[in-house]
Amino acid sequence: MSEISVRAFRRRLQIVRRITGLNLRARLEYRTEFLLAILNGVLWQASVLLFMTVLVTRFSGLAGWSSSEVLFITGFRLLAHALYVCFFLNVTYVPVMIREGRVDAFLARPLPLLTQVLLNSFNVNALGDLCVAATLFGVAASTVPLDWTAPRVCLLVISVAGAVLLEAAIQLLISSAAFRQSETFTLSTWIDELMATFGNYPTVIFPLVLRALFLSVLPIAFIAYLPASVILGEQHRSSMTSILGYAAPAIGLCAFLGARLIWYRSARAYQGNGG
Amino acid sequence: MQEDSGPAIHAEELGRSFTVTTRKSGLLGALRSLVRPARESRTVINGVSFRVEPGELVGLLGPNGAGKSTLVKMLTGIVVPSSGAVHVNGRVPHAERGRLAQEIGVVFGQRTQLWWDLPARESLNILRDIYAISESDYRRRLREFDDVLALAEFWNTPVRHLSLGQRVRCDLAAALLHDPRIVFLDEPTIGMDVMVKEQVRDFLRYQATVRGRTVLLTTHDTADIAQLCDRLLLIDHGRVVFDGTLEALRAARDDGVTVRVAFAEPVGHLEIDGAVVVERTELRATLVPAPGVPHGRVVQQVVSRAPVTDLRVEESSVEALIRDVYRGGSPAVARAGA
Repeated sequence: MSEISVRAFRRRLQIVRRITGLNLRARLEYRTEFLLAILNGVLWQASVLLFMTVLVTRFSGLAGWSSSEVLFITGFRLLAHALYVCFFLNVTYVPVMIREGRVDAFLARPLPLLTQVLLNSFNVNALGDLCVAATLFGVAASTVPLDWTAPRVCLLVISVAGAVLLEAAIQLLISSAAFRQSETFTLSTWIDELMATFGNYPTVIFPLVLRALFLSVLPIAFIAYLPASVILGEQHRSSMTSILGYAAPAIGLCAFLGARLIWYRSARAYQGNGG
Repeated sequence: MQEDSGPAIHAEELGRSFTVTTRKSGLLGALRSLVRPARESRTVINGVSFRVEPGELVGLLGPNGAGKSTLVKMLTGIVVPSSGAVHVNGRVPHAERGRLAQEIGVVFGQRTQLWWDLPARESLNILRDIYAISESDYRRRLREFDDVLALAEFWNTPVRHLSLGQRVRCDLAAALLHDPRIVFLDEPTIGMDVMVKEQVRDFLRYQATVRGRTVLLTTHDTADIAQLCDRLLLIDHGRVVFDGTLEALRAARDDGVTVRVAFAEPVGHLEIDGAVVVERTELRATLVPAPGVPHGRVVQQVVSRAPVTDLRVEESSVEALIRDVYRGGSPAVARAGA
């Protein structure tokens, strides 16, 4: 039984790999556009980087956080975001896929709908994002006074994965409304901007209302600030942030599974495209 | 696993309604619908029942907006029905979508399921992996499709450079690659030239008669109907208004035959038993046999009356027959869609 499911999983993984390869080749059909997309990713993230550099060099710190620690939060979020773009960005294009009739075609094939949505195309600019994010994170991780012990690296990997899943969960939830013939792309973009604007800093610097918002309805604090403060160590841990920070990866996973459930339930209301 | 004895498709009182947001015109109306959108339920398919046996080639016809595509989407598991029951190959389509997808093939004539920027061949390769088709089966089927559809001429060209006819032929191959028992086609011959249409029809007929596949297609092309479909399923306003062969449709519409005749010399008053003269000039006449009167009897009488230079018996066009059905739809049906 388990051998069969392992084989099925292997086969699925192979299909995912091959379709990804095909998508990549499809994008390479337009060489200039391919390079521009990567450049776009690099430039976009580099502008964030530039802003952060100014922030870090002009100010000695933010609300008890040193400049390099703030940079670490930023690096952490950019890394998680770049990975999210690589694996999950296609979720925000569901309304477009519905309009183009692609969802109809997906539903006629023997693969799960979400898998096919995620495999719809390869987002080349994610490669640019990833380069910048990895660089920034590398710099930040080497400037903060930390020993990168094995448990800490483990915590880091799990925390980044949790952050990726949490961001995916938020966008998955938004795109589930697209099956009821709503235009969700604008909302997706806006939320994405919001997370980019507020997610790069320690949440404690914001007014109480925003802090409450970022810890509840729009859980931006769980993406970078809370897990990063746990990784950074003792000095920033109140018992509360500590608990929430350790819980963040589990929260990310649960949010993703919950959002996936709601997404599939919404897909049942799908009315089909056109005539 | 597969039910060989049961019907290929079995729909009972199948229905689907959509929720649509109605907007009032003007800026004020737009604002109002933003605050409190007026939602309305619209019935697209309304109590449709029919059976299709394995190996049948059925044409699903209906005017634009009759619900054809929605019906096909319910049969293929893309759209979940709001009421009634449906079984395709013994499975409930939306509940067993993944498994059913292995047993059916779907072609949307107006859209492609191929990778737009890559040669069609690449898409076929991926489909081989997705459907877990063995290499030998894959090669054999590709060869067979190539024989009929002449795909090899263009399957190494990126799909975006293909003509519509070429692209649809590739899509047909893609939909049949996994040897499905049942094939659904939504307007497969749309926008094709006469030669390609012929090729596609031959291909579909071959798939039904030789390969024993059940084929259900929607079309607006009357030649598809006349040359291809064993059976017609006409739907209008979400209901079945006719289910049977083209011959049965003709019979139900009083044979639908007209007799056109040209005389060698002027004939005076023309009266024929069991026929109505609908058009008349000095030398020509058009007659329609009364219900139940074979047109042969009318022809005999005409010929015995005066020397005839030309005589033609014409069946009404498929188009006219179908138009008649839609016009003759019962008032209840017409109201349902209003």
